[in-house]
Amino acid sequence: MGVKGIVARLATGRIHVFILEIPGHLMLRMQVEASIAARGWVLAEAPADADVLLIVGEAPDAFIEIADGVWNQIPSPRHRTSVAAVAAISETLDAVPAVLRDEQQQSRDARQRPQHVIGGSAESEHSDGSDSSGDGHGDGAMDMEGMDMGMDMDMSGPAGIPLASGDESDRDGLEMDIIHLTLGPVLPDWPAGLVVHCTLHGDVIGDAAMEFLPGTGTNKSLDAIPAGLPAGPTTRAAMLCDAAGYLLAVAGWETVALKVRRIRDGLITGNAPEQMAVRLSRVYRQLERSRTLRWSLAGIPKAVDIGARTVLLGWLESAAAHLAEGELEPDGSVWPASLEDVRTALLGQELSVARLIVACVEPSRIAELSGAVHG
Amino acid sequence: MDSVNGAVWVLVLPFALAAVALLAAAANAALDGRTRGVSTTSGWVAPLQESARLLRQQRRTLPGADSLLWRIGGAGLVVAAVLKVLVVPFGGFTFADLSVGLVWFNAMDVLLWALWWLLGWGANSAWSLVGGYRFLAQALSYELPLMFALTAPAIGAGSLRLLDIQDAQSGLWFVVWMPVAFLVFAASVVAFSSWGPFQTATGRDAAGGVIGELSGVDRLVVLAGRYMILVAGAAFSVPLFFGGGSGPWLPAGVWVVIKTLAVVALLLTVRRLFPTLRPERLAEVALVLIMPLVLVQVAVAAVIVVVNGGAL
Amino acid sequence: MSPYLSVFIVIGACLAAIGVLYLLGRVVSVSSATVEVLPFQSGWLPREHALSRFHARWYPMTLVFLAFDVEMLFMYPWAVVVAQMGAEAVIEMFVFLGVLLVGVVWAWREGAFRWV
Repeated sequence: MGVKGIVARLATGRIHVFILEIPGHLMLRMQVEASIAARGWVLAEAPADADVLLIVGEAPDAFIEIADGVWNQIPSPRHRTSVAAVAAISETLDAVPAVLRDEQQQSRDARQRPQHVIGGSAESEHSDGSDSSGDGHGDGAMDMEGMDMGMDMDMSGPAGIPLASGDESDRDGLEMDIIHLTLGPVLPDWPAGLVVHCTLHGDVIGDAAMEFLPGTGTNKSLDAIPAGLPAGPTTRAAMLCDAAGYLLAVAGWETVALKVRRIRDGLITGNAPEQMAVRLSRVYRQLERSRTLRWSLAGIPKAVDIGARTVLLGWLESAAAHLAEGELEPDGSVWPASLEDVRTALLGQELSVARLIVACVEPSRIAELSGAVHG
Repeated sequence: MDSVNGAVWVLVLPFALAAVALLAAAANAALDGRTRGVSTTSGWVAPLQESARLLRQQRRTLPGADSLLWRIGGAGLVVAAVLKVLVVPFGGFTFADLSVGLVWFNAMDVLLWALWWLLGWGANSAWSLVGGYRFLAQALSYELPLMFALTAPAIGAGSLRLLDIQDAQSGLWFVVWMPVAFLVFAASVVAFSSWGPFQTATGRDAAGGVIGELSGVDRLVVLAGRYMILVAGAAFSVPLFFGGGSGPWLPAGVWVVIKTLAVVALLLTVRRLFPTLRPERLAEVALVLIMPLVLVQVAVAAVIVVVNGGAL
Repeated sequence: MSPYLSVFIVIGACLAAIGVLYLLGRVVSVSSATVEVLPFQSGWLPREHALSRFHARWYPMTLVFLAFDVEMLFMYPWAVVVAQMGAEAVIEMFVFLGVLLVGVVWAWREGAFRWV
């Protein structure tokens, strides 16, 4: 084993996994995250930070296109794989380090992957063994309903991507450029399947269009728990902890988010539920006491009678009640009643606040809310 | 002989700083690992594993990226960190005995504004750009209190030279009668490193922000530079507030390192206790509440030196 | 040895070390070629380049910053001599700072520190 071998061995000790969650596989994704953490690996924050693209669930075509786009952005050494059942998780993950360490195959992939961006999409010379389907993804996939398409789309910029241009909609009446940024479906700490196409003035959302990309088979299913797994109170508590973990991660309190995720993992893997209940109440007290969190989350979402902090504490409280085999009264708050409610709350907000607002919606509710938009 | 000696020691400095930065990153990862319930050993080796991983990873670029400025932003973080430590005295010895050492530090932390923003700008990616501007918004909040906090030790010593500032604390450490200045300084160190509660520019909610499009060695340099800045800030607080190399039994240089590590440990603890402070919330508090507080601190220090005819 | 000589030596050393790191990366990495990819937009294609006239809504705050930044030019030399100059210097400086703080309060009232 030469120097390269030693480096490769060291390098694959802490693999960064970028997860693309297909709606309807919440439980599977939680299990995957638990396995990743147990191995001492971490979740990547962007393709540049990733070693592995892991598709959780069976991807319909829309997601395949998204996955191809992200896959092209991951630097070598890289590995693309998917997992569709809890039983397959450890086998899939165990296979990863060997693939990443395979010097020959990885350098072949690095040579053969598209080296340049042409015409706004990755050059199509796929010859790697992966299951990527064809040339990037076309404009047809971009559902831009409700957005201003009146701007001139000159393709003069580098790589055929047009330069940003201004429009009159700037809130302060300045001649500023607007840029478009799509949030989701693949973004760290983001609910599965949700897509927000934003029109940005600086980092403030001027306009937004929401859509929900449904998963396969379980189309619009209200209950995200797949068959064969206990849908009991413990699972429900784990789901609430998962939602709280998202909100805490987006609020930037990494250490507490880690604590909550550890509780969640303990619940779904069935390790010492009593101990988890104790940990949960400890975390709850820490969050309740934090003045900084109260101040940081105050007034989010705007013009809605419940705040992010209330939502967060409510989830944890409810999770604790589920663990104690008790049922907590639903607090009667209806926000959001539909994705449109979320969209309205996002308008005029900074991206960081917008992320917090989205994180206030329990991920498992997104599918149900998208139904409310159309029906 | 002295000058030859000095030149050799100067060459050691970047590597020594990098080593302490590695230690800080390892301690941080170990603490996080313990919270997450994975073994602490895997935390301690995490920075080494990450370094190996990033060395082995391919570098990326983006269409229309401003590569030159992007790389300057990355390498600049490391250089700025080392230049900060350059003026820190280790007892009687200092790598560069500038008569305006304090202003030198101030200049280096203003340089960080440009560097972080260039990192965000260079990538030509929406998330990175947003991160870069987040840093500027945050910098507007922390920089003014920081600059006033820096003047407090200068008033105490009646000098901008760090050796003088350190020696002026032979009676009483400045941290005792300038606690507000120290707290603001410590918070600013965290803020200009874009780390801990002030990490919005590199936040996970912005898919990594300014570092979101970096891979390979480029990313390694930035992540290392970030911890080096953090450690450099901690090292600088030692001559400013903790009496420099003064201490019993051990040589002065060792005391500086020990005190630096203690401040780093303090910063690692603080990170765990607070959620991220977003710039748009921070601005109001920083300018309307913190800044007047720091000015009161400066006034108190000024009145004390005038009445006392020098430091306490 | 002039202290500024150490500055140049240390800058050289840093750049050399970073250069060696890049060389090491070239040797160790699976591919020394830099790959060009699209910016991360959750898997969607970018519709325009990100480099643009960015609407920084906190621009009024930059003026407050500028006022105090210039003020710092006086603050450093003042800090050095305040002990010798006595009470007069303290009063003069803090009257000056007080005037600037009135500006901060005014900017605060105008909402310059809340921009969303």
